[in-house]
Amino acid sequence: MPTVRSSDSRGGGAFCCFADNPFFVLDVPPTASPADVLAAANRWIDALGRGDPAAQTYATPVGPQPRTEMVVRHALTRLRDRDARVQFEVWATAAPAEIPDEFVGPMDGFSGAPRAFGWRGR
Amino acid sequence: MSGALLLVGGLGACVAMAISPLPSSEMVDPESTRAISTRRAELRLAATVAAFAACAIGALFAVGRGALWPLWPLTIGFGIGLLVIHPWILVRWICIPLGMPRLAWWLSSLGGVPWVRDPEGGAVLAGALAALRKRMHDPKAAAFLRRRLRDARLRGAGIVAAALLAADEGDHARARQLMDSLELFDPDLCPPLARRIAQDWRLADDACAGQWSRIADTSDDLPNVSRTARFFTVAARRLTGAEDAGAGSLIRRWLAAPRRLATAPLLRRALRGPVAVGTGVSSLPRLDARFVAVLAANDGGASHIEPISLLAEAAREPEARERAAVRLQRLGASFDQAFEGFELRRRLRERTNELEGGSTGEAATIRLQHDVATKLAQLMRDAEACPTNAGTRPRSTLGRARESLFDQLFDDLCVACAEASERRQPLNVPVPIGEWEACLNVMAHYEELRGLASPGELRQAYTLVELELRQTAAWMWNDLHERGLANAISAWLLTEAERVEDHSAAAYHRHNAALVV
Repeated sequence: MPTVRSSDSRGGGAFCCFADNPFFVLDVPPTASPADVLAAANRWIDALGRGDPAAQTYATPVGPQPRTEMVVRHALTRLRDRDARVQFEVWATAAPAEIPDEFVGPMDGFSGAPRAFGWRGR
Repeated sequence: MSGALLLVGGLGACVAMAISPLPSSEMVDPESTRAISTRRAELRLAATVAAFAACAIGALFAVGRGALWPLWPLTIGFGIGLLVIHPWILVRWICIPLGMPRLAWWLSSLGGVPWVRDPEGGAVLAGALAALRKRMHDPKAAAFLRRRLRDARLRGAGIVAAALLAADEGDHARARQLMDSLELFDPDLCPPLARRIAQDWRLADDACAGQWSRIADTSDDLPNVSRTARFFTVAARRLTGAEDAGAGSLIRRWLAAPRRLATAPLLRRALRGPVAVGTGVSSLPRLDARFVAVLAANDGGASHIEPISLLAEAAREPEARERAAVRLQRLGASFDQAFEGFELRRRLRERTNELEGGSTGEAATIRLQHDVATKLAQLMRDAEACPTNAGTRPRSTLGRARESLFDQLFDDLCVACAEASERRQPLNVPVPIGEWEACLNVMAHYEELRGLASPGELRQAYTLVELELRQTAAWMWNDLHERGLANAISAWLLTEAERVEDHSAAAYHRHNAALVV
């Protein structure tokens, strides 16, 4: 799965507001009512239980992220905090984006370099 | 005929003995590292000459008596004597290639070239090199070598050995820090071969991480560079397009380097020519011209959404450090505009009222401002960049981010200093490599803060660091007798004292750094 930068993955970094945003996890608009949020969470949990491949990932502005039942339940819990929800709504105004497969950050490394010097490879 | 040859050989031995170096008059302190290592080198040379001379005289005597049979035992005896005087021959060609760390350490403990500047550390380094040749990581051999290193006085080769052992365990960040710390050492404390191994390791580490521009920047004037390193440098220059290195020159370097099969993939890649950094951009789908104006980077979209979109666009930048300062400046200005305007505040107030949360719209705005400052601080830290105007407006978003990052870095520095101080407690058993790593940790945190702090803040940080490292250096010199480490700390403190213009500290450390190690 193409992702942005390893240091900015979910759970930390400056971009976790996008990668972990409950609105992206549940795929609901920031204006969704609590009932809509609950319905969406149940729908995703059902889909994940069925092994639906479309439910395995969710789109975010920093590229697709893996969706699991725990992630969905966590998102639901976070949206119950109304003060936190206001903040998530602000970050959810950014549009999800696709990161192309060919996305490369710095130039690819040469993993055989240690062997070239006679040492065991990594 | 053979008698004449032996005579010439004997004469050559005498000439060698005559031109062997004598203790220099520059050796003011006979206990200095340079004097001791020179004496070690002289002893080995004298022993080699004596062995050769004894063999030649014995052979001459036997030939003079008309008996040729003693020539073989004499030659074998001379060979064995040579291997005892210079065990590196066995270690280099047998123990290391066959992956025998204990035997490599044991033989290298006999001393000799190339570890005359650090015999104890050199023996462990030889063992570490052999350990790296094993197919799998050997924890027992690593523990054995680490114990030997703990007992040894820490110098250049010991540092490289500790770094290689850390790398062997998969701790590459620690290995890198130790390898980089070699630059702080007095050259007299570091065998040239250890320096070359460190240079090779760093280059291999950069190559693994794809840091080709860093490799390409390697100076051509570096002494004692390995042939493989020279090939990597030319290949990196070709890959980055830094220099129009011809294919012929690249192939010549490749042929000159050993292990051509292992380097062949890099040769093929370099022969294809330069690769543009961040080529992923070229594979992005073509953007519809109607939407270009809507992009946040082009001042498109609603004003309160613009900074959010800019942050998302920053996340999609292929190289975080490239143009980081400009990007951060743009982000900061955009968030300032959004927070100073009415739209974002109005929306936050409306949503807070609608949701009937516990806080007010104003509290939500303050929370968001704090959140944004933390995110920009994280971006500054990741990119190691601080926009020039960040410190000029303390109430701006970038100003808050800078303050947040400074507080964070200063706290980290205080923790690192406390850890270094804790290690000096009498109840702790001192382990030189552990003490050195604690010092490197303090230095690394200070250097990270240096790029961000104002002159006054940097002076404040230096006072804290100087107080801590000054005591550590004195403790290492007086109690642990680790003069090399103490000297390296003093030299670093001197450089930083001159940077922050702390003249009294500079004078103190100038005196300490000049002491003979």
